[in-house]
Amino acid sequence: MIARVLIGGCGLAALGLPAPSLTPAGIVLTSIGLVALFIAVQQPGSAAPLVLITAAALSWLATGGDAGVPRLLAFAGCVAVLHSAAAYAAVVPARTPVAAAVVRRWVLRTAGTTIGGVALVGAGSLLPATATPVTTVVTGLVAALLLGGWALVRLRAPAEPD
Amino acid sequence: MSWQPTAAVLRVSVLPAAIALVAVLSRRVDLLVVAAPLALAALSLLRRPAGVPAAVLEVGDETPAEGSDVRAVVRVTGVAGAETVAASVATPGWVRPRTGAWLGAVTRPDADGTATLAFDLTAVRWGRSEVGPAVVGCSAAGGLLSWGPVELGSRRLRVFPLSERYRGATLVPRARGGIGLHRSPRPGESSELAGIRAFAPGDRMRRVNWRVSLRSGELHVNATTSERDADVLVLLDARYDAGVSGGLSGRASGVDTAVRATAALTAFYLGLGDRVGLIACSGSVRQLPARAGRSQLQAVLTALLDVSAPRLGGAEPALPEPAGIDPRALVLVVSPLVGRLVFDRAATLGRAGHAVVVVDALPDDAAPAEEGPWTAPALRLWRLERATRIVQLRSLGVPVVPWRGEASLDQTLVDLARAASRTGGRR
Repeated sequence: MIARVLIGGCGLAALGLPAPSLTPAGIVLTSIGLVALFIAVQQPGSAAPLVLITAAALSWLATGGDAGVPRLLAFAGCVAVLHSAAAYAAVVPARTPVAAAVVRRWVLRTAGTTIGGVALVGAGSLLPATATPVTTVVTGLVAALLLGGWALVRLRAPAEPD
Repeated sequence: MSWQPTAAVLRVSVLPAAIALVAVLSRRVDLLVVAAPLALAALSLLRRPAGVPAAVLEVGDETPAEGSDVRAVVRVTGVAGAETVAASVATPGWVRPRTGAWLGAVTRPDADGTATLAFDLTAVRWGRSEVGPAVVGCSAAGGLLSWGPVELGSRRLRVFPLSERYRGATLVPRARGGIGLHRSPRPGESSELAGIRAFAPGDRMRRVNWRVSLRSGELHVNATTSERDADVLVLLDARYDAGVSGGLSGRASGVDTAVRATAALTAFYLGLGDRVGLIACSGSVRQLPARAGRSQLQAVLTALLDVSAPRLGGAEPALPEPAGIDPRALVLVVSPLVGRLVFDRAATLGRAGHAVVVVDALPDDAAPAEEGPWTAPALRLWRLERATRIVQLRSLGVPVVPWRGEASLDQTLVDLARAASRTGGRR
């Protein structure tokens, strides 16, 4: 239940933190995000959290460029918690007592990936600017690795026993 | 079934990659801050579980007694490397948790790759009940991989109506043989002490009570009663029910009380070494000939599991006349006394010379489940008519005893035994 509350709270924050403008694009993105949020709370194992994060990221792309660092960090944290809570709620039945060790591990993992990811980008931005920006290169490599990893997961999933 | 990627895998692979691409193309480093935590979450996939899980639902005791605790256990194996093992168990019958009607738990697997989720249940009411189905699911790699949900078939339980233990007088009005466990009102050669009396010619020396003899200065002997065994026939009338069944902690219906009384009396008399037979009349008639022993107790308890009052309209269903009853058998008619034929049947048995005791199993607070404007006066009229029939039955010499559990029949059996000894065992 707490996971679903987190999805709702972080989803609303992720849609609100970019401060979307009253342009048609902003309204459409926010509407799509709200619908996806509603579905994500009900069915966290569906594609709705993906749509929600995508809408929030596009909204940030459109209007969040001038936001300060605190708002950016809050937005990144909300997106990370939203993802983690949705992944958790998808595998744990609602209104079920959960062992404390399970919750602790999940919270630590979420905190670790969020802080680690932000720190990684922060460390990259501290490097001196060159003709070939390090951040760009790292980003490209990470993107390629992730796409490769995704393909591996899909292709090398254990075969179902007969 | 094997481990499958969940929808979350897209959020940690394609989505951060796309955001990173957009960040590069639009020269927006801030978007990388959003994408990086999601991308890092994908590292969980490096530790994937190796085994294929298997789960089973077990129930500790499949034939519990009413009111006893039952433990349902979901055992999952082959979950080494998994992070969560979740299970929920449905309890549609009368075996249920003490609070609520739904059970679920989430835990982490042990180091040996197994997980055990235990659920404590209580057998609230007698009868056949189901525990399950159970639904089991596992997750690994931060929710990026999942196994299940897998449905495990339900388990059938037989809850025996043995919630109360009956203790009472071991007297029977007319015993069948000269050996057994019953104390007879007649003097005899058993070990059951009836009193101390003065020595008389023919008394054995080993019966002399030396302490009393020395104190009184005259020889006294221990007087004992004889022992007998008996046939007991329980005629359970469950053609009609009255009241609402709410389990052990709730209200009891007439059939509930009748079945519990039948089970308690059967266990008591079989424990004494008697032969007990059963005729159970509900939707159908189930007849068990009189036998002794633990197997007979199991047979009677099993027969009671299927007793339920049928929902019938129209004329009162027939109550078959028990055939081939031992003339010296004690006949216990256990009934909520809702219909009319049960009074006629008890009177017929009494007139035929059987020792009959009618056990009234109607709870004091029994009332229809649905109430209308005429329910209260109709109920009052019906209770008056029922009370009149009970008085008529008593006037015929057939005692009607309300079931109050332990020692309910004691006084009635003493009276019947006295009457039988006065008439020399014949009526």
